[in-house]
Amino acid sequence: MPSSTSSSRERPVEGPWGLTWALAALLIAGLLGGLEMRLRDQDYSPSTSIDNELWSAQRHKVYWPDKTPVVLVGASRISAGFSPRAFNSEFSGYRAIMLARAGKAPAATLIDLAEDEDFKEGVVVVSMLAEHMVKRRRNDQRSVVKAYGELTENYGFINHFANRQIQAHIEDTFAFRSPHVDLEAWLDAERGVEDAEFPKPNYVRAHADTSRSLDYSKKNVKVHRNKRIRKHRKNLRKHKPAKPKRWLKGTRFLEEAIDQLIDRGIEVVLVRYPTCGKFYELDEEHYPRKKYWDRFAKKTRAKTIHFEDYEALRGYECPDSSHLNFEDVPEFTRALGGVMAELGVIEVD
Amino acid sequence: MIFNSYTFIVFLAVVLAVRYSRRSWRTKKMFLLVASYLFYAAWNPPFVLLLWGSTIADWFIAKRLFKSTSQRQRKTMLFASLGINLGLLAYFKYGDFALRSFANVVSWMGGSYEPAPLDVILPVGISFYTFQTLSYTIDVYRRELEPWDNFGDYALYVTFFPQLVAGPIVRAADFLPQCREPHPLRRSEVGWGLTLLALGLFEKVVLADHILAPVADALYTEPSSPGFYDAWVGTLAFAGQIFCDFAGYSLCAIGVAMCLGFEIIDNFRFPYAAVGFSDFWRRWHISLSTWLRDYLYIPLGGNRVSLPRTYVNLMLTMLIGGLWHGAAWTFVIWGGLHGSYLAIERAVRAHTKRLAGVRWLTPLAGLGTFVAVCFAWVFFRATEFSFATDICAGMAGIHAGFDWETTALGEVDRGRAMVVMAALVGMHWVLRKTTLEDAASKLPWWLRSVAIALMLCALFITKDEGRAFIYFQF
Repeated sequence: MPSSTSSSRERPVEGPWGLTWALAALLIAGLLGGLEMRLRDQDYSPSTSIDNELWSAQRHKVYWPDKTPVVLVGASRISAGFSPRAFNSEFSGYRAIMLARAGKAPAATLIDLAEDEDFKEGVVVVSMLAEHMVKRRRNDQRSVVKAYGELTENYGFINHFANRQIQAHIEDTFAFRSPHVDLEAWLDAERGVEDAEFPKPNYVRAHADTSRSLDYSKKNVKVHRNKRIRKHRKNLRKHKPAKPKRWLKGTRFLEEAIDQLIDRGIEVVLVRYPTCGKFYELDEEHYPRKKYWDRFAKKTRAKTIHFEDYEALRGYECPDSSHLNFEDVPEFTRALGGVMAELGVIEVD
Repeated sequence: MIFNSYTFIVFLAVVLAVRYSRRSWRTKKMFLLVASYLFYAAWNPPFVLLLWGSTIADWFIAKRLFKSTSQRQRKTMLFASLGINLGLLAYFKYGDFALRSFANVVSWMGGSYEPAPLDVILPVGISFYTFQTLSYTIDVYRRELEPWDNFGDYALYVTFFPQLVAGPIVRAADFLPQCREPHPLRRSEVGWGLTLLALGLFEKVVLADHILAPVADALYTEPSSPGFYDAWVGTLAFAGQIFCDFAGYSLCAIGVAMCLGFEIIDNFRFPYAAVGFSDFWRRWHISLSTWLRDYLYIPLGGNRVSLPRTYVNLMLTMLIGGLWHGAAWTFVIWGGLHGSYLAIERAVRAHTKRLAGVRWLTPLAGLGTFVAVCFAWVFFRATEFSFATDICAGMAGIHAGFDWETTALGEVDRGRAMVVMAALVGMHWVLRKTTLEDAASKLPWWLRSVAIALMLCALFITKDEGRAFIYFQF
C-alpha cells in the first residue's frame, strides 16, 4: 500500500540552484576566511584536543603495513619535543606514531605494546625520566590504554577512528574549529559586551598526529618557568627517590616489557630528553645520572640515548627549563633520528 | 555512520560521484546497495547478517505467500514473517525489558528472582527496517502489491542508507517502482536536496545538540525537586531538541535521497502548530503514525466499530507505538498519554462540533495541544518513572522555584534555549498551513544563498560533540 502522505519531490523548489550554491560558497569562504584571519591576527592558533579516541586512532597505526612504525612513548617532553612530520619527511621508510601523553609516565603504554603480539615490527622510542621509572607511576597511562581496548571491541571502530582523524586535521588547520578557542567568549568580547574579555591564546598547540607544539612567545616565560620549577621541586620532595640499588630493582617491570619487545624483534630506544637550568639541577640532585640513568643503561637490553652524550642533541634551549620551544623541534627531531641511525636502530636511504 | 560525521561527507561524495557517472542504472543500483551495507557496517559489521536475514526471509515468504491459493497456507506464511521480524525485535529490543519486568512481578508477589542481564546490543535501525519488511509482506498478503521481481531492488528498498537507521519508514509501493527506471536528475532536485541536508544538519548540530540538549540534560540527568521554571525550561528545551534532532535526521534523509534521485515521504509538518492530537499525529513522525494506522489501527477495526471499541483500538495503537520507541515503562506511559489525549479529543469533538468555526479558539486549542504534548515528553525523556513524576511535580509548581534567577540547572544558557524554542514554535505557527518547499519557493534565490551560508557557517564553527541521533536507540 503506498503511503497516503506527500513527499518533497512533489513540490520541487525551482530556481537558479547553481548560482544559489555558488553565492553561498562565496559567502561562506568570505565569512569564515575573515573570521580565521581575525583570530590569527590576535595570536590564536589551530589546535585539536588529544582525547582517547584520537590517541587510539594513532595507536592503531602500529599495524599499518606500508611503513615501519616508530612508536613514540613518553610524557610531555617527547610529545612536545618530537615532530612526526619532520621525522617522516627525513626518514621516508618510517612512520612516526606519537603515543606520548603529557603529564603521565609512559609505563602502561610500553607494557601494552609489549603484550600486544600483533605488534611485530618496528621501533619503540621511550622518553623517560628516572622519576617515571617507578612502580607508583606504572598506571599513569592505563586509562587511555584501556579506552583503546574498549573502543576496538566494537567492530565499527575504523569508522570512528577515521572520523576522529579527519576532525583532528580540520581542527589542526582552522583556528575557528579549535576546541581551545572559545568562540562564544571571543564573540562577546569582539562585540564589546560588558565584562567580556578575549580568551587568552593558548601556547600549546595539539596536532592531529597527537604531537604538540609549545610556543613560549605566548607565555610570560619567567613566571611560567618559576612555576614549573616550583612544581618539580614539590614533586621531588613529596616522592623521595629510592636508593639507587632499590630503584634499579624496581625497574624490573620495565625491563620485562623491553625484553618482550626485543624478543619479538622490535628495537627499543630509551631517550633522556633535554631539560635545562634549575630543572636539570633538581633532577641531578635527586636522581644523579651516574647512580640512576647510567646504571639502568648498563643493565637494559634497549639502546639508550642521553642528550648530554651527543653533540647534536646538546645545547637546545628549554624556555620553561623542561621542554623545547616549537621552533627547535624539527631540527632536534632530525638530530635524534640521526643518532638513532648511528646506533643502527633505523636505516637511512 | 551518522550524517553529522566527517566520514559521511566523504562517503556521500563518493556515492554521488558514482550516481552521476555514466554507468548503467543496474550498476548504479548495485553500487547503492553495497554502499548501504557499508554505511550500516560502519556501525557494527556483524549486524549486517541480521539485516540480510530479515531481507531474505521476507523476500521468499512474500513470493510463496503470493503464489499460494490456500488461505490457511497464506496465513501461516504471514505469521512466519510476523514471527521472524517481531521475534528479532522481541529478542534484541525487549528481551532485557521483559526479564526485568518479570523479575519485578515476582518480587511484587513476594518471590525472589534475579535474572542475569542479557547484555544484548540493540542493532541500530532494527525497529525501522523490520517495519519496512513487514509492510511489504502484509501488502503482498492483502494482494495490494505483487512480489517484486528483482531481489536487488528489494534489498535496496530495505537497506537504502538515507532512511535505513532512523526512517522515514518507507513503503515498498512507494519505493520499488522508483527502481524500475533511473529518475533523470534535475538541478533543482540536487540543489534543494543539498539544502535540505544542510538544514537538517543545522537543526541537529547547532539547535538540538549545541543549544537545546545541554538545558534538557541539565534537568533530566538527575532531577531533584526541580522548581517551576527549571522543570518547564528543561522540558521545553527537550521538546525542541527531540524535534530538531529527529526532523533534522528526516530532512537529511530526504535531501540525500533526493540528490540520488529517490523520493522519500515527508516525516514532519510543523508539528508544534498542531491543533488537537489527531492533527499532531498527522504532523509528527508521519511515516510511523501512518504505518500504525494502516497496519494496526485499521485492521483492529479502527473507528468503524462501536465507540468503546474505537477507544480501545486507539489506546492499543498508541501503547504499542509507545513501546515501539523503547523498552521501558516510561515509553508505554507516553504512548498511553497520547492514546488518552486522542480518546478525549474524540469524545469532546463529538459534543463541540458547533465550536469548530470559532477562530479565536484555534490558537487556544493549539496552545493546549502543545502544553499537553510537552507534558507527555517528560515520560519520553525521563530515564526513570520517579524522575518523571518529580519533574511533573515541578511543572505543576509543587516544588517552589518561581524565581527565574534561581536555577538548579547550572551553567547552561537557558535564555538562548528559550529564544530558539519560541522562534521554532512561532515558525511552526506561521507555516502551519503551508510547506517548507512553499516557504522556500517564495524566497528570492540570493536570500536562499544567504540562509544556506549562515546555516553552514554556524555548522562549521559549532564544536560538534558527535552526539548520535536520538532515534538511533529506537
